[in-house]
Amino acid sequence: MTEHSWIQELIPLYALDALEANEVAEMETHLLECEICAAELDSQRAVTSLMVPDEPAPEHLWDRIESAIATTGPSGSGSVHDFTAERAKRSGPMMWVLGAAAAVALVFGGALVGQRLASSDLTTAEGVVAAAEAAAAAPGSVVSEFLVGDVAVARVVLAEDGLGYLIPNDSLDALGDDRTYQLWVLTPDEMAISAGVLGSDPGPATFTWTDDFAGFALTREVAGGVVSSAGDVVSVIVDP
Amino acid sequence: MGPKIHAEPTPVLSSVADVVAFSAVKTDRSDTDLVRGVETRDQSDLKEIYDRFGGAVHSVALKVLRNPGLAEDVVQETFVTFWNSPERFDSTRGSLKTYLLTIAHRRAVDIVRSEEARTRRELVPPDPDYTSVEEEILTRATSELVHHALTDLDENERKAITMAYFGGLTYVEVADRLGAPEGTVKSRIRNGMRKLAINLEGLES
Repeated sequence: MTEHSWIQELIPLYALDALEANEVAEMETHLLECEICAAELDSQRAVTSLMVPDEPAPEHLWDRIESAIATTGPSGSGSVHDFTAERAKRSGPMMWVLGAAAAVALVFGGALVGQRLASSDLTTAEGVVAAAEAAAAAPGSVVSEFLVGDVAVARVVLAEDGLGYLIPNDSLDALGDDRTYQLWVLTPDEMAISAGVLGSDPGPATFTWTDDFAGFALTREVAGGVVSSAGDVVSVIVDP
Repeated sequence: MGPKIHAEPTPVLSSVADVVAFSAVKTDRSDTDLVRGVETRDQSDLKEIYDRFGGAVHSVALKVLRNPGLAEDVVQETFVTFWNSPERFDSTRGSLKTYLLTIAHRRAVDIVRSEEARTRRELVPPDPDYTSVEEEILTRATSELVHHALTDLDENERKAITMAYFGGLTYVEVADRLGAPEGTVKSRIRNGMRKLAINLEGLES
């Protein structure tokens, strides 16, 4: 049996990481030189990944990853990245999600966040609340509250410059670790676009939205958040 | 005067579907597009990738390690590794999910086979009931096609593949556990994997 034939016999085992250490070294040397075997390996690895069930990503782990890349990542991570990592540790992750119509706004939104760091300490819950109060008092801001029955569970403030705040209060029940709250912006063309995954027990958080909007929705979702809601709605605000 | 606030008593948003249509805005973006975003240091694109594949990465790490803390370490390492070197992903060689699972599985296996894990059994618990693992994999198969491909395998082939991949065992260790000759186990894995490749050809993970 030639080396190529021998290696080919072992590729399925290599794809499963099931070879002995001495065989791995030989396999990897051969793979560097043999496109046929490399292609066979690609095919076998695709098979292994199909055996792994898709599950919701554990939400709490994103905080760890975000912190890790902020501290160990390569240069290029600017102050906005550091800010978001720190904020996530304190008040839960917030995913910046904007629709295609607001793609340009994403760029300006990021710049705005960076500029505001100089005047508002958004790295703490207290800082976000203070910034939200200041924004609520400013001309042109939209201020609304999510109600459950007659009880307000969270306040939404969207400043004219597109920086938004969600300030939950104690009336918003904590969820189990397998669930999360999620904030949506309702657009005039009857779409709902995720503005952020808030965590199971949300604290004050920020988001950006600079396009037209018709309201907000707060939903409960599986941990990690969803891209299409199943409709477990906590509250909806229309025409704020 | 503040804006008018409408409290919606509607318990299920789908009942007001005429007004609100939830959209999968970010899912419209391809994996390749998100990788490009990571290459430009866009954390929100890494988050999107994490949302898509973090669950599968965690699942495989937990199955191999059987230790939630270690599994979380592997998930973190996997995504940090990808963040630091996104250019190493080559979309012509396979899907992003496959690439991330390859990183995670290799790292989990390294831990299982480490000297520390071999001597400290509390670190990585002993072998699970592989029959239960097989049943779980079948039950939670990503599609009917995958389910059929797995059930179509000879029972011995499926068991050997499950023990190797989800148990983090080498074929020599699988043979030892089963009391079967090493050559027989190699053949079972090889034949089973090739059957899967044929039956699942063209199915992108």
